[in-house]
Amino acid sequence: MSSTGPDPTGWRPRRRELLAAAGLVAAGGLVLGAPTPAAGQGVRDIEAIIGAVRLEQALAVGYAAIARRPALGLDLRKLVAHLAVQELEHAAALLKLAEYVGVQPPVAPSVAEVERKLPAVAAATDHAGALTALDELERAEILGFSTYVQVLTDVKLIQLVAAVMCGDAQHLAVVRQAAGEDPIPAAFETGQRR
Amino acid sequence: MAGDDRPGRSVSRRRLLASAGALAAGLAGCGSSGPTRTNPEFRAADAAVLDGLLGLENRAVAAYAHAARLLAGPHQALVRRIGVQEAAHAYAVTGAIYRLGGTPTPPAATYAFTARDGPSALALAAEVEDMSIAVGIDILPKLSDLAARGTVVGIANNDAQHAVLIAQARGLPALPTAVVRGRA
Repeated sequence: MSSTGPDPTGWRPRRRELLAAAGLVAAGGLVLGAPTPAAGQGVRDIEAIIGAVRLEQALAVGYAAIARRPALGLDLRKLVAHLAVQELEHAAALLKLAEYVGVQPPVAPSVAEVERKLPAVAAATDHAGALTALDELERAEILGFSTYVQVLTDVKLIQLVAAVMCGDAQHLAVVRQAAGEDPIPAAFETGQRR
Repeated sequence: MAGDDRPGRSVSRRRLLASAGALAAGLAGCGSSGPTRTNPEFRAADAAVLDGLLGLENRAVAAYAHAARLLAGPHQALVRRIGVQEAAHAYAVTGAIYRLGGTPTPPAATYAFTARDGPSALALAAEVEDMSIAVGIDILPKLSDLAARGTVVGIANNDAQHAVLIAQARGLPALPTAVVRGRA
């Protein structure tokens, strides 16, 4: 790594963040897979895009399930349903690029599978639980994609992942608002817990 | 318990650490084995790319100061708050340019803005954020330095969040598009 010391304003993956990303990886391979370090760069990009598609598919399925839970209240259900649609659009955009590079589209997981592998989705049974889950999952997405952007090589892929991540950053701001929190608590959004 | 909700909670610690180790090894390899950290040409190129972004950030700071003078109440408080964060972006990019051995271009003495009232001030803010997001996404792959990429990611994400708040202030939908590319 750089010998210039930590950038006081920039972001660099720390052990805790790597563990968080790895936690998603280890969630049964459902979500972000860590690109294999030893693999060639093209292979690493392909692994990354498959992981990213799986993540978005899982969240679309998970959010759609959460949006059907009456205990959330109408306003939050509407918001979660909107987020579910946008996660699906993220998956579609990533899939389009995946097909361009010759990747077989992953099959979307079932609700049961998502709930088993992402316990936050299963725990989101009421208003407070849903907001906690959304905050956690959106931050995890941003954290994971931030890591991806640092290891990917394909220009189109980097830019698409960044654009998807900006969408997730917006989701996080809206979720914070819904929770009565400051939507922009810091000038740099990296998905880290404040 | 909040901790129980974390994804991957049921996975063994050994697997977690193995995955994290693999990821860390990959990142460390990317950071240290390539020419990007030491090659002066790469560093100079990165500094030049960041200097372009700095120009935008400095303009954003000025734009928000201009907008604040045209607004009142909660909208004025909002643009002041965002202006402070834009200044933080400018400081960060300036620091990154120095770290890469470059010389940041100072802000212009004056900036010309056509906004003359509240609605046009908020429209200016929206335009500033759109451009910042678009440029941030555009330059990411051009940067060899990983820390610089991290800084730009944090800025672009934050600018996307600003865009949400500005849209709400204008009475527009907060999340109109899923894939947020901005507009240069």
